[in-house]
Formats: sequence, C-alpha cells, structure tokens
Amino acid sequence: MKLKISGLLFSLSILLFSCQKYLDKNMEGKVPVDQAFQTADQAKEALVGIYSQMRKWGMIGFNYSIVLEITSDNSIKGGVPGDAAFINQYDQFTFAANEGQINDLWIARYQLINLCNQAITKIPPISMDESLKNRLIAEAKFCRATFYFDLVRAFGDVPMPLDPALAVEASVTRTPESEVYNQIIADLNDAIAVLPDSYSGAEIGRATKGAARGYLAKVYLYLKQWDNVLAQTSAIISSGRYSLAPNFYNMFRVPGENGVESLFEVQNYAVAGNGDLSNSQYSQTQGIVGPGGYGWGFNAPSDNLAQAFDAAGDIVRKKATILYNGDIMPGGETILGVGINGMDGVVRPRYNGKAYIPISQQVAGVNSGAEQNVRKLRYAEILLIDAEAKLNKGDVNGAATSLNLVRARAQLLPIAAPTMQNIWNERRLELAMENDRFFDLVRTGQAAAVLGPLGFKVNKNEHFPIPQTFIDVTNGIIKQNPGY
Amino acid sequence: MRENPLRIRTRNRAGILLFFVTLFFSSAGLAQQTTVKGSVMSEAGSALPNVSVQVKGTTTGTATDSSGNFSIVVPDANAVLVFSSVGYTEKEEALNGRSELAVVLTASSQSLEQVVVIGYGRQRKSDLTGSVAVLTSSDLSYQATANAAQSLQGKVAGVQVTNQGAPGTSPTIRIRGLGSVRSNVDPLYVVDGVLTNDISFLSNNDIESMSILKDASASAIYGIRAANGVVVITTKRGKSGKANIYYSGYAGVQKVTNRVQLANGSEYIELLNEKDKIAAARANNSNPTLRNPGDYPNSTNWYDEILRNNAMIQNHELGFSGGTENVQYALGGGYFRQEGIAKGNQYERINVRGAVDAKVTSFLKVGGNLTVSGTESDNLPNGLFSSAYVGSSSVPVRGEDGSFSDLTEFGSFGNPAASLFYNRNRTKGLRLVGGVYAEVYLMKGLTFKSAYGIDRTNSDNRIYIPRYNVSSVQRDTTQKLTKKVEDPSSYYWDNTLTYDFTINKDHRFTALIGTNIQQERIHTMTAARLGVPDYGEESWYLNLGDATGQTSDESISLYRARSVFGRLNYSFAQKYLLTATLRRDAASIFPKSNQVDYFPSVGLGWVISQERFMEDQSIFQLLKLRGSWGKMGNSRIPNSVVIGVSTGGNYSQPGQTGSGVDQVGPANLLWETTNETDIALEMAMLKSRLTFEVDYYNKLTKNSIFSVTVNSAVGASNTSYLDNNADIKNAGFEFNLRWKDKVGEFNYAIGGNLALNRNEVVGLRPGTVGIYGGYVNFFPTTYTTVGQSIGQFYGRQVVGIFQNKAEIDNYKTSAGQVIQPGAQPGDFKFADINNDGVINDYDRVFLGSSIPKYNFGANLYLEYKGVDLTVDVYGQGGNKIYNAKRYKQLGNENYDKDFYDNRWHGEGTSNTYPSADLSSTDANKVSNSWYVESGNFFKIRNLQLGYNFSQNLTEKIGLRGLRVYFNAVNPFNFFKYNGFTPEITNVDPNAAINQRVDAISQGVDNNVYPMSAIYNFGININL
Repeated sequence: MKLKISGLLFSLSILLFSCQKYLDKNMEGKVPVDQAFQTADQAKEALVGIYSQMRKWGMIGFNYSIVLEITSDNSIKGGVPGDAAFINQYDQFTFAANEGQINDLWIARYQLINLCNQAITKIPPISMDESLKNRLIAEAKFCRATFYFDLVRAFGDVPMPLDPALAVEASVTRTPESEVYNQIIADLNDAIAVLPDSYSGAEIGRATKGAARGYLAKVYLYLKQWDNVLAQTSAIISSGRYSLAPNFYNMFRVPGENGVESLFEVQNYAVAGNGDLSNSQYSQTQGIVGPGGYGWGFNAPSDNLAQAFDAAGDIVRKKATILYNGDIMPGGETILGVGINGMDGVVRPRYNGKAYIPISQQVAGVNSGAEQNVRKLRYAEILLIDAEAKLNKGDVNGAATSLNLVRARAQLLPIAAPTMQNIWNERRLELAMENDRFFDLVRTGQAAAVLGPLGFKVNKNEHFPIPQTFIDVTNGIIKQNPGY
Repeated sequence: MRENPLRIRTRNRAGILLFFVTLFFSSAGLAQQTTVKGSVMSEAGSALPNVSVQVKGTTTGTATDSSGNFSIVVPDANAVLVFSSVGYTEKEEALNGRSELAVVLTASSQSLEQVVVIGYGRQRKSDLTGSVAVLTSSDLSYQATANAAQSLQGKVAGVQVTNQGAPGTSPTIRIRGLGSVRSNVDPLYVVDGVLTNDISFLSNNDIESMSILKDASASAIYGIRAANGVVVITTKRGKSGKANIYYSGYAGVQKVTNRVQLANGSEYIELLNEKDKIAAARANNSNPTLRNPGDYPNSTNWYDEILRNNAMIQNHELGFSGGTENVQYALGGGYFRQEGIAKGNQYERINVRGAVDAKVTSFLKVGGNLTVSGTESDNLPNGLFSSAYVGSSSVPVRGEDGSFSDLTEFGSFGNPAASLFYNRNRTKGLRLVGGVYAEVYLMKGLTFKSAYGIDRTNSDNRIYIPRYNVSSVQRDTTQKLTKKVEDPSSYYWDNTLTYDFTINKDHRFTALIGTNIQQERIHTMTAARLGVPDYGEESWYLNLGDATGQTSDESISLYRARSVFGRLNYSFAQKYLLTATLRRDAASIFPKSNQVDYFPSVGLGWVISQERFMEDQSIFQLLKLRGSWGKMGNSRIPNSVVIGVSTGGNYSQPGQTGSGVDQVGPANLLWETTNETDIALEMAMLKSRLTFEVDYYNKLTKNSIFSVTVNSAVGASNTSYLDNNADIKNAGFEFNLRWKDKVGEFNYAIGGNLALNRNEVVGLRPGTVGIYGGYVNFFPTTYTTVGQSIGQFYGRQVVGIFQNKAEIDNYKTSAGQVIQPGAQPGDFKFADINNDGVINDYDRVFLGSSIPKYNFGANLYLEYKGVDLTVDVYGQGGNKIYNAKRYKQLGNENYDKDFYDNRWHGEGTSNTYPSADLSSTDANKVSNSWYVESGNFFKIRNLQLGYNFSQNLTEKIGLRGLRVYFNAVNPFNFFKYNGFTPEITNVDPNAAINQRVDAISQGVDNNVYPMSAIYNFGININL
C-alpha cells in the first residue's frame, strides 16, 4: 500500500512538473530589434543600409524612369511590342491611383525615410566618437531631405513621419507642402553644417557638403527664393571643388563615376556571385533589347527629344543621350538589339545613353549593367540653377556666364543675353533622360503647353495620385489629390 | 498434420517464461492470483483468434491463439474479463470464481460496439459523443496505396484528399474545410503518441487503426493543435499466443491517365502563322513575315520524351510478431520502390520497425517502439512539365549530329529532353520515429502512464549542374553544386492518470488528467559553390569547389509547448452520455505576456434505443442523438512573424556590412481559435445491417491569420504583415450510409458517404483589405475577401469572342464609348462591369473557388467462397481549376490539341475559344474567366479482386493464410478539365517544410505532375 501511495505521489509530481524557462524560446535565428543601435559599428551599419537600399528596384528601377521621365516629352515606353503595355498609361496620362509604379515610388521613398528616421533618432544616445556620430546623423538628414523632395514634388501634401516611434500617427495626416519644404530645408542646412567636403576609400560617394548645398539650391529653385538659391550655388562654385567633365559621353561610363562634375550619385555594384550587391536594375530596364543586347529597352528617347537636340544643333549631347540601333559608339562597339520596327512605338529602336554600359565592361552572371551608378546631381545643373536665379534677379551677364559654361562643353555657341526659355531649353538638353524633365515642366509652368497634347490635364496632373492602397488602409482618412 | 517445429519452440519458451513470471509474482506476495483458461468462439461456432482478453481496469491482458484459446493470470477470482476484437461486440464477463470459461462473441455487423482509439485513450464507439471515423487494418488491407493517408480518400465523409502524382509525396488532407489563409492547415497526426505532420514513413500494413477526430468533442483534447482535425494512428503490436510470420508484397506498373494532347509540328506552325497575322494587324503592319510550313517537317511530342510508358512499382514487407502473456513483440521490415511517371524520377524506401511490450510486475507495464525509415529519391528539374507543354513541337529532339536541338528560333525555350538529361537532383533521408512508455497500475481502475517519443529526420538534397551547352537559353558553365540539409526534429513527453470507476452499477466514469511537453524544431542549411569538378557523384562535394563566390544560408524555427489536460466520460445506464474536456496550452512562439489559452469542449449523447419505450421495437438496434461544442486552436501560424533586424544582403555595400530596422509586425500575434458545434444522428436498423449517420457542423475560426497591408507611409520594408484579422466559417453536412449482409455464403457490403461544405471569410478587421494570390506571370488569379471562400478565382468576365471589326466597333457603352477599341477579331470580349467604358482592374469578378462544395465516396465489397471484390469510388464537385498552363502563352509557346481544335480562326469559328494570338496584348493575358474550368471529377480510385485460399488447402502446405489479389488504383477517371488531372495541389518546394502549401493559390494548374493509374499483383502469406 505504501508503494502505491508513493507511486501516486510520484505520478502527481510528474504531472505537475513545470519549468517556466521552457517556453522562453522565440527568437531563434534572429537578431532582436532591441539589440540594434547600441554600438558605433551598428550606427555605421545603419548608414550603409540607407545608401545600399537606394539601389533597390523601388528607388531606381521601373518607377524612377516611368513615372518621372516617360510622363515628359523626352521619352516613350519602348521595349518590344506588347511588353509591359501599362507603361503607356504614363505617356498618355491615363494612369489611375491603383497603378503599381506610383505605389512603388511612394512606398520605396517612405521605406528609406524610415531608415533615416531610425538613424536620426537612435544614433544620438550611442556612446561613440562625437564627430563621427554627428556626421552619420547629418548624412541621414541629407538622405531624408532628398526623399521628401521626391515625394513633395510628386504628390504635394504628404504624411511626414520624422520619428519611428510616432510614425503611425504621422502617417495618417497629410502635412502641407510648405511644411514639408521647411523640413527639407532644415535637414539640408543641418547637413551642410556638419558634412565633410569629400570622402576617401570605401566611403567615396557618400553625402558631402557640396551635395547638400546643391540639393538645397534646387529646393530653393522650386520655391523661387532666388537669393537663397544664389547663396548655395555661389558657395559651390566658389569652393572650386567641382568642374564640368571635359567629355560628356565618358562622364556617363563606369570609369567616369564620382568624377569632377559629380555632386551625388547612387552607388551601384556588380559583384560576381553576389546578387544582393548586384541588385541594381537601373541599366538593365533601359538597356539594349534583343540579340546582342543586355536589357529590356524601356524608356526610349522620343523623336521629340531628338528634334529638340537637332533644333539646337546639339550633336555632342544627342549622341551621348540617344543611342540608335546601328550606332557605333566611341568604344568601337555597335548598338545592336531588335531591328527596325522591333521596338514598340518607333521605327528605329533607340536607348537611353545615360544608362548605357557596354556589354564588354559588364560583370557576367549578375543583373546586366548592375554596376552603372545613377547620376543624381551634377555640377552642370548647379550652373543652370545659378543662371536661372541670376536671370530672375536681373543679372543677365551672370546668367550668361553660367549658362555658357554648360553650352561650351556641348560645343555650342554662347548666348550673350539668354532668356528664361533659353535656360529651360538648356536644362532639357543637358539633363535629358536624367528624370528631371517632368517636374521641371510643372515647376516652370510649361507643362500645360508641352504635355497637353500628350494628355496632361491642368489642375490634375501637376501631382500624381496618392496610391489607392494607402487611402484604403487609412479608411479614407487620407483624401485623394484633385482630379483623380 | 505435422507439427510445425517453430510452434513447439514458441510454446515451450512461453511456458518457461510463464513459470518464471508466476514464481516472481508469488514470491512478491501480491494478492491471490489465479490462472483462468478458456476459449472464444463466434456465434457460428468457429474459433476466434487474436481476440484481446483484458482484465478490466488493469493493464493485464493477452490474446487468443489461432484455436481461439487463451490463458491469463488474474489478480483475484472475482475479476472481470473484457473480450474485444475488431468486428465483434465487446463483451465483459465476470469470473465469479470460475477458472474456465467459454465465451461467444457476437459479430457487430456494423462497428458500433467497436472499441475505437481516441485522444489519450480508447472508448466504445457507442459511448462516443464526438464525431470519430475509424479505418481499421482490414479497411486498409484492401487497397495498395503508397502513402497511408491516400487510403482516406472517399472513405470518410468530410475528409478531402488531394493526391500528388510524384512518388514519395504525401497527399494534402483537409478535414471539414479550410479555417486559415496563411497558417498550416494540415491535420495533426498522432502516431502512437508522436505528434507529426507527415505519415509517409508508415505503410498500410503497419497500421492497426486510424481514427479521424472530426469535431471538437473528440479533438479538443489536443487543444492548440486540434483545429485542423486530428488523425490518431496506432500501429500493430505483438500479441501473446502463437507467433505470426507474414509476408506481404505487390508489384506492378503505373500508366499515365488522361494524357493531354498537344498540337503537333504542322499544327503548331499553322497556329503561329495565325497568331503572327493577327499580331501584325494589331501593330498596323500589313506585311507580316510568316513561316513556311514546308520548312518544318518534324513533329515532336515532348510528353513522349519525358514520360515513361510503364513505370514500375513494388512493395515487400516481412514481419514477425508474437509473445507470451507477459512479453509481446513485433518486428518487421519493408522495401518500397516506385518509379515516377517521368523519366529519371524515382523513390525508394526501406523501413525497419520493432515494438515490444512487457509486463514487468503485476503493476508495471513498459514498452517501446521504433521505426527507422530510409528514403532516396531522384527528383525532377524545376518546370519540366511546363517546358514540355510549351516546347515547340516542330523541332526534333536531337539534331542530325546527335546533339540536343536548340529551340530558340521560336523563343527562349529549353529542350525538355535536355533538361532531364542534365538533371542531377537527389535527396536522401533517414527518419526515426519512436517512443517508450511505462504504465503503472496504482489501484483498481487507476493507471498512470508516462510516454516519451521522438520524431527526427535528416534529409540531404544535392543538386549539381554539369557543364552543358544546348542553346543560348539552356547552358551553364558554372558547375554549381548546391547542398541542402533539413533536419526537422521533435519530441514529446506525456504523463496521464486514468481512473475508471462505476457507482451503483449504472454510473460509469472514466476520468483522465494529463500533462504534455513538446518541442518541434525545423532547421535547414544550404550551401553552394561554383566550379565543382565533374568526375561523377564521387566528386560532387563542396570542398572541391571554388571558395570565392560561395553562398550559404541557414534557417530555423523552434516551437515549444507545455500543456495540462483532462477529460471526464460519464455514462448513465448506457443511455445518457457526457464527455467534457479541458486543455490548457502554453506555446513559446507567442509573446511572453500572452502564451496561454484554455480549450474546453463538452459533448452529450442520448442513446434513444436504450430507453424503455424502445424495448418492444425491433427496427432500430441503435438510435442515438449526439451534440457537441468545443473550442480548439491552431498554433501552426507562419513562423516569419517575429521581427528581427535586417542585416547583410542588399543592406550592404562591397566590404561594408549594413543593416536596418525596417519591419513592422503585429503587437501581439496569437493562435487561431476555432469554435465548433456538431449535431448528429446515428442509427442502426434491420438487425444492424443498415447503418446511417448524419452530422451537421458549424466551425467558426476566429483570429485567423490574414495579411494586413502596412500603412506605407510608416516606411516598413514589408508591405504587409500577418495578424489575427479574419473570421472564417466552415459549415456543412456529412452523410454516411452502409448496408452489410450475408446471403448463404455470399457476404456483401455497400456504403456511401457525402459531405457538403461551405467555406466563407465572414469578417475582416477594419483596415484589412483582401489578399491576392495564385500569381501567374505576375498577375494574381485569386482574391480572398469578406463574403467569399478562401482563394476565390478573380478576373475579367469573358462574354464572347469578337468575330469581326464591326462587332468591336459596336461594343459600346450606353454613352456611345467603344469599350475595347484596341481589340482584334478573335480577342476576348469582356464584360464592362462598372460601365465606365474601359476594361481594367475594376471590371474583375469572382469566378469560383478551388474548394469543392461537395465530395462523395462509395465502397462496395463482395465475397463468395474466398473470392472478394472491393471497389472504391471518389468524386468531388462545385470547385474550379485555373488552367494556368494556357495562361502562360506569352509568345511562341506551343498550344494543346483541344485549343487547336476549338480556337477562333475566322468569323464564326468559335465564340468561346480565342484566336491563337494570346500573347500580343496584355488584355488576353490578364486573369479572366476563360482560364477557369470546372474541377468536378469522379473516379474509380481503387479496385481489388482477391482470393483467400481455404484453410484446408493452406494447412496442407503449412501456411496459416494465403491471399492473392489484383489491385488497380485510379483505373478510371472522369472529368472535363483540360489537364492531366483535376487533383491540383500547388506546392512550393523551396518553402519551409510546414509552409509548402499556400491556401490562396490552390487549384492553379501550373503543369502539375501527371496522375497515373497503378496496376498491381499482390500476395499475402501468413506462416
């Protein structure tokens, strides 16, 4: 009987066995979020993460050229017939709020803004070298400003989260355009105060003081604050750090990356066997399509752009900007790919020369052309911004000086007393296919006249529609832009 | 008759053991023990072997030998013996001092009196308050399926079984519909206590019984794992008495059923020219370049090149079992080999299993079992069936020089025969499943049991890409070797205390309390290198490859749970029945603050036929009403929900590692909870020859895992995350009808079952929008949202085919806007659902679901003088299939013959099939109703004709039993769908083991593995 009682007790004790720690196992194989932003190395990693994410599809893939350039008079869909027919909606202004590229553009920039917000709010408490800490925060502010600049131009009033902890609340209100611009200006001024003039080694290509000044000048250009524009452009020009690259074509090749004219570029890479580092599809989407090609052939320069080059007598920049089927390039290679009538919408296939990378210079086995950097801001544009501000201030000679530097490099004759239209036309030809034209037409008020025949509607198409999925998810608290 | 020497030896050994055991017991001085002897017979007077004889309320038991005799030591002279055997009514016999008895068991012409296995115990079927269906070893023995789960098809109402054609694969099983969109919805299998998701290590012969627990009263005892239904399996164990040696084997061939015919070489060229003419007209090109049919004299049927005419299959099993009163054993081994219907594809399995049960003392019984299963499979290259479907049929397999043909003059198509030829993909696996237990008899009716078990697999996949150059799109020089090791493992430890007692004769109680801990770990490692030399398999090791550019990956998920559970069964005079269960579960994968939930259930039964007012009638032998309610959980939610830091990869720059905190997730992601109500009526009539059972069930799954779109301005890198956001309802009826009788020496049985199910997402939390799925060519084909079933097909509605230009111009809105101005004759004409004059995403409608509205099965059994015939049929309907094979028409892909025969090729030729130009306009490619086809089917899924040699004859050749049979699986299949099979399961082989089936992408046929019919001859020998 004793045996049985002790057996019963033993059984019960087994039944009641418990150990709280047994269930404390739910982070196997993951780095816990609360362990991030604890060390200087983690702070540096956060910035590497931001620059790296700029390579991704949502930043420089389809939407970058489709939403920002095909909507202008500079380019058309391209590609082989029938392929990705939705792109034509951007050429003809028939896109609706549920079109995927607008959504991609919106989402990708907010994703990058979130990474910047994390860095800006979570690096300060880290105990580390103060000057490096300040620089990293300033870089993140620079980056955040450039992303909000894209959003405010594309959508007008937009949600403006600045702190990840408050992002959910901030994301359901549209901050007025003027406040977004104020934030961009504040971020860029903070960046200018801290950022270095240049970097060396692996850090080449990161945000510099000059890049921040350049973006600030461009922001003031959109705000028509001419004195503020000139304060930045003259600081850049007088710094003597930048000059126009002598050869326009070579500037857009891999050896010309981060050159004398470059203020800011998205750094891209092609590393054999590493798809994650070689994830840029900027060149591939626009590259030569068909036998002997390497890409998809979208964002094809329009006949209208070609005529604009011809009207200006601009041979140098036309040849570097529009690569026609059969052209022989300075490197000796021929542009092959699909033949006559093989590209959608044109007789003679053509490609964006500024995204071009000769096949012989490509790394095999990863995305074709993954190494091509995206030129975001060049000294030539600074000169044109300077010219426009000066002309608005009545300084015709000063405007002519800056404008003619750019024209001279293109082997064009100087204009002694430029008009505003002269400067705008120069912007078009100099920056063609660099995804500036649509915003520029809206900024300068030319959009109705230039794009009206393509389908642009005044009081509607100045902005893109807020993505429908975003409106849906806020249960309609966020209202759509007019006209959509 | 000559005595079998083996038999003598066994008997002697048993005698010696018995002697020692008796000696041990008497020296231990425990109670006064008596040996009881007796025999068990059927009503007809024949001896019944293998009847279980158990001392009631103890673990002491034995079984009758081949002559129906038994001998058992009982603890006291007034003990009660319980006699049970499958197919007979359980009988209790009080000894009242007797030491010899003769027992007669009555055959239960239906299985109502049968003892069935339930969660953590056994119960008489007539005492059940829950919905439990049982398949016994004899049900399984009349079909030769490779995977035991396949045997459930058409056998049990409410269980949908969808087979996959590839050898070694398990079917998908759905019990009473689908309660989740994102979580694993496979039923829980409990094999001798081991909780598992896959029973491919078992052969039909290993299984003693399979109980399918369908409602909450039966399955809620499994708490947080119960919501998808539970299948409790017990495997065969040894029985005391004469040793049994058996061999069971079959061999046969498999043949493709319902082969899809493709357009031949000249038809293909004809179709391309038609296509190119229309495409040119679309592009305003009046002078298209057409192909000259005379240039293409060849015709290749790519299916002929990759499919076998006869694929072999064979299975052999050898087993030994037996034992003494105190020790029973079963040992066995098996070899199974199945060739795939595609060339180069095969699966091989070698099983070894053993089980032993031993009564150590009068109060202690211990036992254990272990199955070791080794498998090896040669797998197919990805997309093989697609490449055969789309491959240009006008190109020969090989050129004149003997090298594989290049198909690229028609587009970027690979040569399917070449992709098979250069394929080197093999998986080897070893799985161990087993456990040990101890049962302690504490006092009369009170038993404690402790059981520990493991389930561990080690699987090793190797893919090598040799150097080859077939064409510009089919070449590789990297010599890449990829190795993937998966080693899922789990263990459990159960402790239960069971107390059986009776008060005042009529009040019978069984109380159970138990605890359980379990862990499940899923772990994968992958590594790859380039430049691995090719000197055959011996050189395919990573160390021989190039270290630069190597890649590796690892993933893990760990699940732990700790549970306490209890059950009370109460029966009053076998008339009023009550079952109440409660389980408390705590699981590690949930936030620490919220890991616990309680899962109660209650079931009530009223056996009307036991009432006094029913005494005088003889129509109903059983009339029973039962109902249950309970709550169950599903903790098998996707494991990607815990958020970590994103690091490396595309967050890095060369030489600089980057990272980001960039995901958002739910604050508190929890398990899914299902509440189920079941009401049923069971009856047995006409001397129990006719049985009928009807169940109504209503399951509401709350907190079902559903994607939530992330507010994109928050800036998370995930555009959606999973949260407990949906309510999903499954409701339906199940009917079971069976007639069994005997006319002279002719035995027959006929049965049928029918299940109706309605699946619906009944609610989503505010802010949650539907989910798109079933992506084909980047376009979604399904949309899951409120008011629809899970994975509803979604797309544009085709109302006809444009016959001519005038019809296109006249297809206008009421305001006069031409709706499809860009169309060409032969294009789809779509309904402008929102009347805005444009066909776009806003014109999509729901086009049906892949979930069947009903399924049914019927089973026929005939036996006359040893010859028997079994026929099982299965069918389902009300579901749709998305013919994504055709949807892949993007350029010069080949077409199927049905398309060729029915296509539009000029005015009036077809108003249902479009022209061959499916590729030059997106409108033809976006998901639409033409691709959605009926999924109804009906098939003879099993047919067996067998002969049991008479005992007279077998005894003469020294055998106890001999059976030969012919078996056919899937010999006849009837369906309209244009594909190899209407059984479509979409599986992502690259996903984690428990996440391979995506609920919202089912029924999309991206060229599934063809189904085959299997024809076997088999033999069973008992020695």
